[in-house]
Amino acid sequence: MTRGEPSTVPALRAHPGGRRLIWLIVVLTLLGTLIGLLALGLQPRTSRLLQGKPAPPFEITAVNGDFVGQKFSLANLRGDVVVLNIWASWCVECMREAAVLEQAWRAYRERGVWFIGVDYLDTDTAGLAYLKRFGITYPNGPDIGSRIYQDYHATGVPETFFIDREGIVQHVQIGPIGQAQLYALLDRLLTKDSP
Amino acid sequence: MMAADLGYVALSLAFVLAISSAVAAWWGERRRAIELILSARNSVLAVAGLLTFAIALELYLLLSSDFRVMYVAQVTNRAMPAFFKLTALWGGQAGSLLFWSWLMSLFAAAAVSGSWRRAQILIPKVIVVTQLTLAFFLSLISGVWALAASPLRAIGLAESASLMAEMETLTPFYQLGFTPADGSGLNPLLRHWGMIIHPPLLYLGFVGFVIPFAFAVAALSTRQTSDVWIRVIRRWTLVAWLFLSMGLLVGMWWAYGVLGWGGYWGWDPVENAALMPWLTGTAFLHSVVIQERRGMFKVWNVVLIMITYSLVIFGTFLTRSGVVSSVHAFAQSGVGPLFLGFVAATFIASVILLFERLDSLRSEHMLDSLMSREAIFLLNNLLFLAIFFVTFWGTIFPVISELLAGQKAIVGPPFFNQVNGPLFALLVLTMGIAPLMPWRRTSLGKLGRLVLWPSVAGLITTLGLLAIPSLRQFAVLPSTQLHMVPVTIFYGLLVFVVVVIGQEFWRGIHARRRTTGETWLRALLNLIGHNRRRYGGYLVHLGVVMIALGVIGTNFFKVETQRNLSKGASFTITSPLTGSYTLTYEGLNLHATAEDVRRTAATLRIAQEGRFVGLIQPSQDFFIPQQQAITVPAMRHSLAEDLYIILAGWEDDGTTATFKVYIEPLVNWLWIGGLVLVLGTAVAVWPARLEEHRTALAARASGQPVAMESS
Amino acid sequence: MQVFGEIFQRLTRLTLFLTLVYALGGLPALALAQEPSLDDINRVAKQLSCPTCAGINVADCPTETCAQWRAKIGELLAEGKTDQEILEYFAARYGDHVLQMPPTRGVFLSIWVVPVLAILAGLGLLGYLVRRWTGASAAMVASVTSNEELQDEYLKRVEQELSMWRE
Repeated sequence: MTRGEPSTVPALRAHPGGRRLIWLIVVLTLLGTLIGLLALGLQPRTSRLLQGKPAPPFEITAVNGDFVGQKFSLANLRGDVVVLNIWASWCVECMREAAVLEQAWRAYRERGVWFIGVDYLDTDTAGLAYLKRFGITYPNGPDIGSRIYQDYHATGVPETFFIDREGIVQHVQIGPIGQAQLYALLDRLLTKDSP
Repeated sequence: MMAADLGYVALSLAFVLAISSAVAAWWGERRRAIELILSARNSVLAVAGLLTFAIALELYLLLSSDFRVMYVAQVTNRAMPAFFKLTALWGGQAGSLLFWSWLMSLFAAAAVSGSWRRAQILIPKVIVVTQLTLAFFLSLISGVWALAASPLRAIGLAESASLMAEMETLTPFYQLGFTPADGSGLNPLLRHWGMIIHPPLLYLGFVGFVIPFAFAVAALSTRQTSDVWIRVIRRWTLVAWLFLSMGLLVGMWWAYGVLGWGGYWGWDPVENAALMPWLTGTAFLHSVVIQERRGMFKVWNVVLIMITYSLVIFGTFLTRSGVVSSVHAFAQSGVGPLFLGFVAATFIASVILLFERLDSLRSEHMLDSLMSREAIFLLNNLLFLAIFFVTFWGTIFPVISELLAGQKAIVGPPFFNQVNGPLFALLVLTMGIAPLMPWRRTSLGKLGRLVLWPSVAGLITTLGLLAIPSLRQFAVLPSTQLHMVPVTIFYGLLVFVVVVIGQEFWRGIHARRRTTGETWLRALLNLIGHNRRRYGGYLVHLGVVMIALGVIGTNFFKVETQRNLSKGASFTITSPLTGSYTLTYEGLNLHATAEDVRRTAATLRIAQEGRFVGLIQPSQDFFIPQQQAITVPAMRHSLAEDLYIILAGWEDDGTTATFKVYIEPLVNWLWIGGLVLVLGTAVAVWPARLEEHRTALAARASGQPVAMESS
Repeated sequence: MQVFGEIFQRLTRLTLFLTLVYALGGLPALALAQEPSLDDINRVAKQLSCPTCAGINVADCPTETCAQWRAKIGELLAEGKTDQEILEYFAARYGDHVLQMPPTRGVFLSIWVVPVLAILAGLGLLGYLVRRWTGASAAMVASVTSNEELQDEYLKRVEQELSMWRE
């Protein structure tokens, strides 16, 4: 033990409690932060939490139909109801709702509803083939950098976001949507906000 | 339904007993009431008995295909062979948690009764720690948390309440309201003997590390921080490490032989979760030697075992043989938050305890010099911790980046290899130097004499490989490779380590022969017999060198190609080591290998350097109940390399087929090195003779190593 | 974003054009001359992660997305793009997280920086502790880097002092 003595720094011997307490606090704070971050980060974040909140901004460049090359963003669609549908060509569930979405687009287009398709993780060839196969005419564009998918916290495809005229997400549909539900939702959004 | 109900009762009883045993031990110690401690010990034994009974019941249920029990329906089906039904015990979450708890209870019972005399003063706290850990695991599988659902709902936490309510289904004895006609069966990928013994080995390793932690906490809280606890846990730690190493190696072997991507380690979260406690545990194994010998690094050792324990708990959750593909799966059931809470609580409690008891952990000696084994061990510890940190950071990075930057991240093997690769290389260097470094201090001259021959051998290797092309061929080094220089340096390093180990054996044998006049073999055997830990350790290091060889071969010199062949067509793939293989596709055939499995096998002719050497049959197995196809790689092994072939697909009943072909240089040295490592650890663990104890004690008293005098 | 959009549009047109060319069977000689082998495709695909099946690279991944990506890699290789250009294309198109080797930009910078900082901190702490434990002055640490003779001499002195002190 005698040889161990000099190894303790004088300051530590003078205020053993104080110095140690500070260290303890530092270590516990670091640990607490790490654990807190993990606890928060491990929470599955789902797009559902967006309901009732302002929609995150998005922008796509359309690749299909009459809209080729046109840019669509949340900002320039403000004032209209926006149905943002995230899909992919390899997604079987998406195919089930493709026709329903296209039909609704034709039915509601004149009433101030924009359907926007966001193509997630597809190659251009596959995406275009899908759009052609289902005869989709509303603007669709690739999700560059997977930004939209991430900003909307999507957890898979298809997911559809119903954004009202004020830019608030009113409904998040996880998985394909049926015609009756879709029309009811649109009617609600249109009547609710009509001036 | 009797068996399932009984099992449920056994689990609940075990849970209550584990808690009461912890409480009794705690009180018994405070009140110095030996009856309470005795009753706590008996409870520990009773818990082990109850869990053994529960395991027997679960096995009976699995074997009798009682699909009303949800777990049985989840992991087995009628068509499965009986053997796989039994091993399905650890094929899913509930079963593997039960299995873990059972092992834990056995280990606790063995530790408590085994050390009853040697470390009586520590026993009560050991009981507290092991039984509380066990109680936590039992709480997960006995449905206790479901009781928390209604209070939680009452205070408005509906989401947490439903998570807790779901916990009821995590009981391995949970009964469905109906009896399904058949179960869904085990994941076909797990129907392999590698996957059958991998989880038990891993769990034995995990559970084993709980014991040293329990003793560390007991030593701290009773202020008995002399070396009693270190001596008691020595064997436990080695055994735990042995099992964990075996678990990792078998896991790699399984991945290589079954997953069919020509690799054995993918740095995915599940693998990392098993590797991390191994890294900190290995660091502990080394630095604890210094505490034994020199009474130093006491705080550090306690910190290491605390981290290892937390990682073991975390790893148990992530590596349970379910299908957790990412860390994000952690929170998707109530189990994740409970685990995180438990890890956080135990870690913070241990940190506070450590700070409380810092005084009792004062070092008995100072570091005399940087030129000492102590200093090299410090460096070794730093490297292990660095690799651990990189692995930890890479594993949690996706969570952090999504939380703080809203950016998805996938951290693949290149990151880990890039950062950990050089660190591992440095570790090999310290592994070579450490045995040469005497305790306390040495002079450069002395060290120089010891390092001379190994360094010369290493240098000759590196320079020789760089200078002479035909040598390069021998060492799997195609001259065009850009990364040749670092690899030649690494080869030199490996040779350095091997010569050091050889030199150590030589010095020992030589000294024995000089003093006793024994024969060479006798001297070697006696040398190992009298210093099991030291020479067992050298064997382990030799194993590590072989493993490193395999890692280098497969990481840097793997050759692969993908080919689309029509029947009768052939192609050639050139090995960096043994010349070229010509493969000719002969055709496809379909047959049944088990009641529920249909195998499509392709036949290929192999010619090496133009000479026919045999047929090989890569195939795909289709599992009818799961409607799942898995590829079955075919391999041709040799010490130099494996020829590894996967049937990737086929068209038109096999008129054409697609193959992925790999040449895996030196891969078998991984497994051979693994065996040597296991052998070395076994030598080190083997119970020592009395006289060795005495030598060790004498050495400790004089502060000198047990080593033979150097010439 | 706009730049990407433009690049993307151009690529789309080029792809459309090439698809058309393939479809019509025109230019087969040119296309075939450059047609990449499966190994070429795998070489690039190995450096990409599949976002829908975490942890697996695109070459080993059995999903349809990955098959499409491999086809795309083939197209880009046929256009004469270098591996690096193709990786950049995928990173821009689908996000940096699809690169197996994390880039040194954005949030991914921290994946490289943090371990380095941590290791440096560890070294620093170790140095501090060693200095404290050896009880020697800063000269000790400095001398390690100085030449051998000096160090030898120094070590002798330390040894002398220590042995005196121990007696």
